[in-house]
Amino acid sequence: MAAIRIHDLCKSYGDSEVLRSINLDIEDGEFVVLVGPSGCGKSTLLRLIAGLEAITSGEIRIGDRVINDLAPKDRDVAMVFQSYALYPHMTVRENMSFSLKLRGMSKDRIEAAVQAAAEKLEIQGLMERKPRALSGGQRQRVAMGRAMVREPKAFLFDEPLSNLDARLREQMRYEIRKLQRDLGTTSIYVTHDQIEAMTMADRIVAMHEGIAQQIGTPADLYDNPANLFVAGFIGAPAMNFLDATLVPEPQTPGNASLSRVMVGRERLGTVQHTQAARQDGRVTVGIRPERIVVGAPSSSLATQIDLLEPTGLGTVLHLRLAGQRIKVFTTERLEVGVKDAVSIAIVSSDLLLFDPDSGVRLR
Amino acid sequence: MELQGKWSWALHYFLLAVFVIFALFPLFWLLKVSITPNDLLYGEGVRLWPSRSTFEHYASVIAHSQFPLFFRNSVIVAATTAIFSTLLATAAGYGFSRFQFRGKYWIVGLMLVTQMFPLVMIIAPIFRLLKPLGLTNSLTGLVIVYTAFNVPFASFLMQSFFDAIPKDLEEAAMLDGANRFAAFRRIIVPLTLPGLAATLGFVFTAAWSELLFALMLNSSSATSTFPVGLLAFVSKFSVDFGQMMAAGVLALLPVCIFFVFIQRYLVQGLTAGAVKG
Amino acid sequence: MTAQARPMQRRAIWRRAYWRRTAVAAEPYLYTLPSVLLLCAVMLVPLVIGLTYAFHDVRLLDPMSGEFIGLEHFRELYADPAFWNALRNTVTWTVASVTLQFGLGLILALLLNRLFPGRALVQLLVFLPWAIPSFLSGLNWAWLFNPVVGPLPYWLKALGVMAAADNLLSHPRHALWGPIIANVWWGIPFFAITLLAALQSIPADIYEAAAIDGAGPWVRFRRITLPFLAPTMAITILLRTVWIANFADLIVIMTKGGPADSTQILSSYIFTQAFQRLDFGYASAVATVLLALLLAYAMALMVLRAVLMRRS
Repeated sequence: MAAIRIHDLCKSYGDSEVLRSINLDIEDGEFVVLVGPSGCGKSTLLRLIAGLEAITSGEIRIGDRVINDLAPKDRDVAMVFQSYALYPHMTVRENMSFSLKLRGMSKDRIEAAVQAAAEKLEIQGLMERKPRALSGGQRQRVAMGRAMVREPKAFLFDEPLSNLDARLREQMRYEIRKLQRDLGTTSIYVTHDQIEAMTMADRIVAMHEGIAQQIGTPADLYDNPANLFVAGFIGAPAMNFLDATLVPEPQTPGNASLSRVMVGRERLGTVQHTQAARQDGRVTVGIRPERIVVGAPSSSLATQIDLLEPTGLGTVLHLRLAGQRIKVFTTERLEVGVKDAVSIAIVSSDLLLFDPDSGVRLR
Repeated sequence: MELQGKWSWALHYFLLAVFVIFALFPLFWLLKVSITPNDLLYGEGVRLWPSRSTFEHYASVIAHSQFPLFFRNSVIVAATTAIFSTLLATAAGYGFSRFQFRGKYWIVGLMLVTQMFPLVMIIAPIFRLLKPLGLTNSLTGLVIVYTAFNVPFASFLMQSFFDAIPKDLEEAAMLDGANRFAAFRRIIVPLTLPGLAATLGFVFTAAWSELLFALMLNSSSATSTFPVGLLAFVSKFSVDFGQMMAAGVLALLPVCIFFVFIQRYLVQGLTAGAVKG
Repeated sequence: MTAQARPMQRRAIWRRAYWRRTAVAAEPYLYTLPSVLLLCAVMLVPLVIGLTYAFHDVRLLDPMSGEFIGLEHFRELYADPAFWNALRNTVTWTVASVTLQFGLGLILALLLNRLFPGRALVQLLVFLPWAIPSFLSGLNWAWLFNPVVGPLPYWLKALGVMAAADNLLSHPRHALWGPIIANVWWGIPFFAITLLAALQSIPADIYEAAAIDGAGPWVRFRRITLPFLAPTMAITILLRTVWIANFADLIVIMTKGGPADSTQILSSYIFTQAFQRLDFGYASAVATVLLALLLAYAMALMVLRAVLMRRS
């Protein structure tokens, strides 16, 4: 168990920069999730930590040691692969014992360690089977067992749940997180699924185009996204983004500005912001579907229903407001249909402002 | 692709029959003469099957001639070549499969070039190089030469087998505490046993059939391989056809047996390769 | 940690990093080096040496030989009728072998592409000739052509192709056809297997769509099968041509190049010059010419490929 410090890490393949200046401090025992769309560099970052790729510049420390030039076998980290990478010609027991055998541990100690891990993962009955005779979920557990027996300084997870169906994924999320809490091992977990990130992480690193867009707790990223990418990536259904204009209101005392948010001729609300708006007043405004109230009697905005998506828990309403699409998520059961008119209400403090070109959050 | 009509099927089967007969007839004839006793050989001439059959030719070939020696030499050379070629090809094939490195184009290019130029070109230089080393008239010399000839093809073959194994197996092993070579030895190689078998088989067949270099580098019957021995026998005893054909049938056996087992995989394997061109 | 100790530590770390990086970069070479060394020693070095022989008088029987004679061999071969004959024969041999192997191989592949009972067995039987070592194929066919034990002379006479039941291989004008037929027998399976694999990779639903659209079998062949096969066909034919042009075994076995050098092709001529006359210098000169021709062929191919790619 150890803290991991990543300082100014860069990785390029020839001319293409895959990771740009990543800075990340992971505390001992923390569960950090790297999340982002395909190609954002999250897997590359994981592989750099594991030693499977060479660093272009920057530094990675595990504990106090700089591990930049250590071979993977000398870094004392364990990895759970997306495809599990179980050795096909070995039994489960042999798979789990392999690393300990390489270390030269005595047979008895290996037996004990493997048995303990198997009990924890509830796979004692599978020990003599070969990987091809296991289900996806069972293989996942064996892959974790193989990592566990080594008692490494850190666990690295490379999208381990991608190959499982939705039901199983839900269950394995819980098991992995619980296991990690019991063991207390520092863990770095890569996924493209923001639900996994939100439910499992102590802290999330949202990545896009090789840059860490925001690092923070799930609540931080949800409530306080740093830019358009993070705002749109975290949370489902995704945040609404509308093209709007900021019209300055008469000034309030202090450094803040007060502006009306206008979508076409509709007034969405009034927001306070310390950073200056653009000259032309253009802004992208974000509002989460679940924060919009339907059918409130007070100061409502008129919309028309395009489509209804019932999800059991609630309904996603696809509405048209001043020519733009806006989604609303409500748990109320409504008697409405397509082409009906509904009125919605938005609380001004739920509105988030973003620069329409750079995507940076306007605070 | 379904063609209708009885006529098209009739033509289909007729053409197939022609091909099968064309393919099998020479071998059938070989077999037929090999079991025809000498007195009937010239008398009955060209009947389709002798009135009496005998195994005396096989007996003479095995017991009284030098063919067992030639057979043994060929087996030694072919097997040793197969083993060495496969060893070198396994390493090279793994290198091609797993690494991208600057010299790769050159090395692959070298291997391709050696498959393209006429081998007869180097028959004279190789003779002059091996003679002072005492490697002419020697099975060792043949093994060295044959291994070099077969390594390129064997390497590409092993490469395609390695390509089929996911890279994360080695990565898992390297994280578990193995360096790359240990991962290669303990994890990857055991998974390519079918590939090793196929490569051994192909190289064995190629070395078994080679004639020109064996002829050139060898002038004593003690170190003759089967093709050379058979050819010498043919020129010396050009009238004893029964024995010669019996020897020919014996020469066929190892490769035919191997072929019967692997031919099904050839089409499958080539489907993957042919699409890539 | 004093300020003095730190530069030394840093140097030690840097040195370790350097060695590790070198080791990682050298790894692929370690795996490929043994093969490369063997190939250079056994094939590249002799190739270069062989090319120099072409310009020296090198005779095995004469230990005093080995002096530089410049282009003497090349002048000799320019005036050598056997050389030009071998060149002509190489073209005949290659064109006839490739055309027949490919044509018959294609027909066989098309036949095998349809499902019928017993197909696995038929496939095994028609592919069997490929497994036969080439020397045996040559001997086998030589015996078939031999009127003493073989049926072919009699059949050829009965068909009216030959006037009397002689050995085809002893007629200077037509003897080359003996090895050609043996080559075709031996080579059909290779083309058939390759073309069959390519045929089987054509998705079936394209044919079904065409059939629904009303295309008959000949149209389907022309518009679907041939275009799909074209890349495989092209590459296979081009590579095989080179290989067949160099393939001397059958001729050496069946006719030794005779009667009177009439069935020599360039590569068999090289072999008999080296093996029988033991004139390594002259053999190497002929070999150099052959190599030059092959390189010219390869370049022509590359130019053709570039032109075709630019057009598409």
